[in-house]
Amino acid sequence: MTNPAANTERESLLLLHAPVGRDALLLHKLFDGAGLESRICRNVDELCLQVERGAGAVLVTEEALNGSAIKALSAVLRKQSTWSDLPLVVLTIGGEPTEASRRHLMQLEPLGDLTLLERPLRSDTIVSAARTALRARAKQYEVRRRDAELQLVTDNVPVLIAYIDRDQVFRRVNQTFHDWFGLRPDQVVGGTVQSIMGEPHSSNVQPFLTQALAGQQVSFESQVLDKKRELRDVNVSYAPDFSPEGDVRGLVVLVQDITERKKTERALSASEQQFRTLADTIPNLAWMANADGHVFWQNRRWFEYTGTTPDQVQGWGWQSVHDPEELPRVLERWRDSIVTGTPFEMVFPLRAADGTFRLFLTRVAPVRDSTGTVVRWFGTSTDIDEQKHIEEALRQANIELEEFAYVASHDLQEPLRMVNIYSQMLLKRIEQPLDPKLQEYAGYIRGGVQRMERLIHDLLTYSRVTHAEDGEVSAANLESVLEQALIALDTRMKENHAEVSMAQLPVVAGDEGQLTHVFQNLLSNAIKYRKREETPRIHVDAHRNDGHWVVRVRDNGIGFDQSQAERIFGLFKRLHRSQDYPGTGVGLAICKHIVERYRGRIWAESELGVGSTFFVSLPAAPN
Amino acid sequence: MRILIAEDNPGDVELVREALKEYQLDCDLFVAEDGGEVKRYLERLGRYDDSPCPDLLLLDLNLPKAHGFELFQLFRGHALCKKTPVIIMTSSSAPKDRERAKALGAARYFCKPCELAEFLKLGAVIRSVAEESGLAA
Repeated sequence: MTNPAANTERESLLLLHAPVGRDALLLHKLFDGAGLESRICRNVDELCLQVERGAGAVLVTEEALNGSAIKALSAVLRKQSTWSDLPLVVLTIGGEPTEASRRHLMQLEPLGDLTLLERPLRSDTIVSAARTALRARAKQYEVRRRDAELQLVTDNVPVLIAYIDRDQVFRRVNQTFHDWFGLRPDQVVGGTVQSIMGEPHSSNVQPFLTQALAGQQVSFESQVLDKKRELRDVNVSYAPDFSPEGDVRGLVVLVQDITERKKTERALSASEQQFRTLADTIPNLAWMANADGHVFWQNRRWFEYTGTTPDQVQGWGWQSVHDPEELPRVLERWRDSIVTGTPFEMVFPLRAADGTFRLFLTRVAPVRDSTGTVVRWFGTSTDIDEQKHIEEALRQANIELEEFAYVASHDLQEPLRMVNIYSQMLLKRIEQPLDPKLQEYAGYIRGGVQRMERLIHDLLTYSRVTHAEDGEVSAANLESVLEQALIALDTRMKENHAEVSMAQLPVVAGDEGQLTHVFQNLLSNAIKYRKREETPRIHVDAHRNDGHWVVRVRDNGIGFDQSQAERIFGLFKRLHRSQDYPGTGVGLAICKHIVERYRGRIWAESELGVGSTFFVSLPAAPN
Repeated sequence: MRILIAEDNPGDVELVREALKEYQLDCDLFVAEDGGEVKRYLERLGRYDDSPCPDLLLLDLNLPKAHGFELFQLFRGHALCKKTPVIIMTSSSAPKDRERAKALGAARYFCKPCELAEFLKLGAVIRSVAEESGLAA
């Protein structure tokens, strides 16, 4: 039978076969008048052909149904699909039918929806019978359509779908199902679970089948060979089909290929194993928690350090190894991270197995899926107890050193003041005439005192610079830095008739106050180490070098031997006698400290008798 | 004029005497060499002949036994010294010490100089404070 969906107009077509007289024509006219479409078939062959093409019902006179006609019609009707039950209306010859004629006609009975109407007939009876037949036929087509739709839907699901009866015989399968085994639908339908699905599946499923046939919905994993004879992982579910009486009459079977998922799971499990091996060998405490903060795993080191067992500390039980004083703060921060999905970093003590507490730096990072949702947390705790103690000791030492330097410089200055003032007092008391030698000696005392004072002063500055807390790093405009330095040096510039020229200067990362100190020092040196006979000329400019600015301070002074270029930045390192050029050798050491504090570098290039260039490289200010 | 001087360095006490002489200020000096002596002086003040009420306090900050600022507060707390001018005389040039002195109401902050001539100018400072307070030199 052709596809009924393709020519729906045939679904209501009446096929007429009445070869004697004008019967066919009269019937055709009668149906036409009743609004029913009919078609006259002149012989049985034509009738059979039309039936095969599709029809709503067949109306035939008894006299047309001789032996060969019944045989031909039977053959066509036998070929009908299971859904199809073509209505067949036979107009019998009037009067009492003979036993032979009745038997003859009844051959058609099992093959179609047979109706016998005895003539003579009223025309409205014929029309009514035809309508009844067409209505029954329309319902068959409707069922056929629904069934086709259902098949279409199930065929397009990438899951093997089947219906099996109580005897585990396949009654219906979708395309995916028979494609899997490389069989035609009719090779599957009628076959048993064992014959179609083979081993090891068939043995696996028996307990589940028994369960499902007892009325339970079941789902399990199994393995089934596909058409390439490859064993694949599947998820199988059985849903019982209950009759109205509540008996299980069959099962809906769903088989889903989960081979890829299984492969991923196995790979994941292997990589998870590697991860855990790694995590167990690191010296840090490591752990993982679900998105909601529920800790589900800790590494071996975690248990070794705390002397706990997983049962005690998983979930939220880890709180027992925290210092009760600190715990509320830790919980508050941790909960905040969970709510906001932000990384957690905190330092807090954790109790060791022996009951002592050590300080740990704990960092926790969220692990997100492809949509950005936090799926778990990964945390590490690093023992920083030793480090913290060292840091604290160092900090304390720095404070003490600074205090010492401060106190020492003041306490050193006091006796110096006494020496100086009382040497003056002595001179004042010794009455005229004054011995020139005494004046000379007094001059040496004063010179020594003044030099000592300067040393103490510079040493104090040095100690402040080197021991100060790390300076605030902000954007330092070198134009204003140089301006400040020049203001501070104004008097000396004028005394020496110094000329300073400046290119455009950048903004760097540092502190303007501290950098003013640096450039004031460099400019001051450039003036101090001038040539007696030449006007001191100083030029300041800058160029960019990657993320840094390199500032140059160039002079035309006396210069120095390049071999001394590194030495001059050392504390108390000088190239000249203080009678010639006063100084303590602290200034450049201070500059080096400040520049390095801002992650910069300072160096010098010089030639004796030509001049010096000092370079200060500093990170550019962030935008 | 009676001056109480809290100073542990006899050299500086001598310089104060020189400075007073330089500016022809006729003063009686009462010297306390540490914090303890200052406290004892204040306890006896007004009750014994050796502890008369001073017209001026010359106060060093860095003293044994008690810090100068602590003594400053004790001095101000005494009923007879509520308005007596105080001159801080110290080798410290730290800004925080200057600020503290100002906050406590010091009349002057005299940073001990290293030059004799400069030190002797203390006499002028004392005289101007005395004049401001209406004291006869």
